[in-house]
Amino acid sequence: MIDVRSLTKQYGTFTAVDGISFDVQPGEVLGLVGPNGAGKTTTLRALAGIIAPSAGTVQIAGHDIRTDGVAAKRALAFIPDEPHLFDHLTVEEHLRFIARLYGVADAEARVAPLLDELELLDRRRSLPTELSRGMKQKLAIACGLLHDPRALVLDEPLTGLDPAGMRRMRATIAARARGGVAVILSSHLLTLVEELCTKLFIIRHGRCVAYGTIAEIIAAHPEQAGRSLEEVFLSLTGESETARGVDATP
Amino acid sequence: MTGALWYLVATTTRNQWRARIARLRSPRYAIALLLGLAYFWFFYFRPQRTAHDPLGADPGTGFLSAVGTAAPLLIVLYTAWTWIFGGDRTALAFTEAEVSLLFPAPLTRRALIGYKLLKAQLPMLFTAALWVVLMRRNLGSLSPALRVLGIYVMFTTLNLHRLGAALVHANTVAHGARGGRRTVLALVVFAFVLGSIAWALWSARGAFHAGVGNGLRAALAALHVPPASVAMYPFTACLAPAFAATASAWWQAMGPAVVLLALHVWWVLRTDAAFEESAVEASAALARHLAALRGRQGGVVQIAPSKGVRRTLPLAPVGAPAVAIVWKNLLWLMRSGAVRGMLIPAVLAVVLAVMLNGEPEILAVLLIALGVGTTTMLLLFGPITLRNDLRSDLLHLPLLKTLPLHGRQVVLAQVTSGAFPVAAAQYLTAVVSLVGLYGLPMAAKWNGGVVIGGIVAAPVLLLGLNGTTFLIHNAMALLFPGWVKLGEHGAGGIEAMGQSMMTLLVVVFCLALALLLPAVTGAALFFALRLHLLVAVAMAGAGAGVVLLAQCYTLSALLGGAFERVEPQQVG
Repeated sequence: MIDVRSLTKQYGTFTAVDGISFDVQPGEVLGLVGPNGAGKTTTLRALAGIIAPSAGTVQIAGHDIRTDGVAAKRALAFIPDEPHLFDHLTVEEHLRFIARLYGVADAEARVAPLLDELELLDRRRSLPTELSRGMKQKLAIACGLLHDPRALVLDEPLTGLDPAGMRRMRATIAARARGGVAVILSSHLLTLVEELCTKLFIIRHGRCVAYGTIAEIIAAHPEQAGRSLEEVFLSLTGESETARGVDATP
Repeated sequence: MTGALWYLVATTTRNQWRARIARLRSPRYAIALLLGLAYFWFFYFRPQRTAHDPLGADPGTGFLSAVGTAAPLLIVLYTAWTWIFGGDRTALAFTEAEVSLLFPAPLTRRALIGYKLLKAQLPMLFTAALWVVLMRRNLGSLSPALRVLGIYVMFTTLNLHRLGAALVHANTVAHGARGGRRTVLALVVFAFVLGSIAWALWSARGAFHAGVGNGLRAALAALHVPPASVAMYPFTACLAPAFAATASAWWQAMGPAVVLLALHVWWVLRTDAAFEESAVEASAALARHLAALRGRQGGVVQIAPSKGVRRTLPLAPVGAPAVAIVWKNLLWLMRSGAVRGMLIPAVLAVVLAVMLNGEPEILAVLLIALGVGTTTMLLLFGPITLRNDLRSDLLHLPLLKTLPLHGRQVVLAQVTSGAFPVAAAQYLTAVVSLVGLYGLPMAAKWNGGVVIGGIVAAPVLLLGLNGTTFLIHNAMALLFPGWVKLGEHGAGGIEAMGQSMMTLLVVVFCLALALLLPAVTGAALFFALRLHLLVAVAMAGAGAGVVLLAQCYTLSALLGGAFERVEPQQVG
C-alpha cells in the first residue's frame, strides 16, 4: 500500500534523507522513530507529497506521488504534528471542505458520528481560534479520517491531546489498521509505538539504522536482546551515552 | 524604551537584510532584482533630453501646486475613513512572537508602543526615499534630502495619527461607556473638521451650474475660507514640507509640521495612559460583577456560551473538487466584512442619485467619477486588500499540498476566489451609475448602443481584467514568497507603503503587458464590426475579455507547475 524505494531528500549540500526504503502493507502499522533532526518529518512530508524527493520513488496504493500525485493523495491522509486549519472555517465547514475535495458522497451521515467520536460535536460551529490546541488536533484528525483513507500517515498524533483523547486516538489507529489501512506512525512516545506498531523503522542522520519487526531487529542486533524498546532505540541511535550523561547529572 | 527592545529592532533589521542578500543567491531572485533595477533605471534615471522652458519656470512647481491642493483632501478622506470605520486594526498588531515574548515580559504598554513606532521608522524612511525617486522629475529644485525629510515627517505624523485612532477605537470597544467618554473630545474635533469641509463644499455647489470646471474651482476656493481653512490647517501643515517648492518654503513649513508631530506624540501617549486607566476601571468593574455572580450562584461562575449562528454557504459533497477552495475563500470574504466594503460604492451611487435628483449635471459628474473611479481603484487596489487566495493560503502550504488537486486547479481556484467578487462589485457599481445617468435629461442625446454593448461585454471583460491582476499578485507570492508579505492582512500601514508601491508598479507593468494582445483583439473586432455599434462594442469588449481569460488560464497552468514545485521552507 505504501512503498518507498531509495528515497533521498537534499537541501543544497545537506542530505536530510539518504536513500531509505520500506513498505507498509494493508493492516500494518509502521513506527518511524529517530532522534530530533533524524529526517522523520522530511520522510513523512515526502510521502504526503508536500516536498518532492530528490531521488527515489514513493508509491501510495500503486500511484507514484510525483507522477500521479492526485490519485496517490486521494488514497492518503496525512495528519501533521502541527494542525493546519483555516481561520475562517468552522469545525463542520472544515469537514464539508474535505468532503468535497475527496468526493465523500455520504459526508452528511459521516460527519456527526466522527465529531461525536472525537468529542467535537458541540463545537461544530466554532472557528479554530475558539478551539484549544487539543481540539484543533482532533479536528485535523477528523479531516484526515473523513474520507476513509487506505493509507494513514501520522506525525506525533497525540500532541496536545488530553489522556482520554490519547486513549481514543490509540483505539482509532488500531481500529483503522484492523480495517486494512496501512499506517505510518512517527512518535517520540515509544510506549505508543510499542503498543501499536507491527514493525519499526529507526532512522538517524537520514539513514536507516534498523527496520523490521521488533523480533527481526533483535535478531539482527543480538546484543539488544532482553532490553526495553527505549534502551534498544537509544543504543541503536547512539543516544545512550547522552542519556546516561543526563541521568548521571546530580 | 528598554535596551532589550532597541537590541531587538537592531538585530531583527540586520538579520532581515542578511536574509534578503542571501536570497539573491537564488537565480530567480537575482534575475528579478536585475530586471527591477533596469526598470527603475529606464523609467527614472535614464538621461533624457528636457525641453528648455524659455521663461525659466521650474517644471515641478505646477505639479507640486496641484498635488499640494489635492493631497490634504485625500488625507482628510483617509483619516475620516479611519475614524468612521473604527481604526486600522493593523496599527496595533503585533506578531505572534512579540505577543508570546514581549507581552508577558515586564514592559509597560508605553514601551511596547514605542517599540512599534521605532520598528516603523526605517520602512517609512525607505518609503519617503522611494517617493522622491519616483517623482524626482516633478519635484522642483528642493534638495532630495530635504524632500525625503519632509515626506518622512508627514508619514510619521500620519502613522502616529493612525496609531492614536486605533488606540481610541480599542479604548471605546474594550471599555464601553468609560472608554467612550475619553474619546468624545477626539470625535468632536473630527466632527468639526469634517463638518466644516462638507459645509464649504456644499456651499459651492451652485457654481457647478456654470460648468464643472467652475464648480471645482469654487469648491477649492471655499476650502481656503474659515471655518474650512481652519479645519484643514493641520492637514495642510502636515503636508507642507513634503510639497514645498523651495528651500525657504521648506524651512518655513517645517516648524508647524514638527509641532504637529510633537502634538501627535503627546496625544498617542496620553491616549495610551487613558487606555491603561480605563482598563483598570474595567477590571475593577468586572471583579465586582464576578463577586456578585458568585454571591448569587453559591461560588460558581457560569460562563455563557459565546457561539452564535454563523452564516454559511452551501457546498455539495460531490462535484469539481477545486470548487471547495473557492467556497472556502468566499466564506473568508463574507466573514472578513470585505463584501460590505465592496458594496459601498454601489450604495453611494444610489444615495447620490436620490440626494442630487434636482442637480443633474453634478449628479452626472459624480456618477461617472464614481463608476470609473471604483472600477480603477478596485482593479488596482482590490487585489491588495482582498487576499483570500494563495497569499493567505501559502501559510498553509503543507495542507494545500496534501489535497488531491493538480497545481493548476489550486491556482485557478485561488485566482477565481478574488477576481469573481471584485468583478461583480465593479459591474454592480457600473450598472447603478449607468441607470442613474439614464435618468438625466442629457441621456436622450447618448448612443444607447455603446452603453448596452458595454453592459453586455462588461462581465467577461471585468472578470478577465481582475483575473489578470489577481493572477499577477498570486504569481508574485508563489514565485517570490520572500518578497511578498503572506497572510490575510499583508503588509499594512504607512510604514509598508513603500512595499505596496513597489508591488503596484510591478502589477501595473505586468498588466500593461498582459493587455497588449486583448487590446489588439478588441480593436480588430471593433473595427470589423463598426457599422453596428452595439455589436461592435459588445464583441470588442467580450473578445478582449475572452483573450484575457485565455491568458489567465494558460498562465495558471504554468503557475500550477510552480505550485507543485514550491516547498514549505521556501515560503518560510
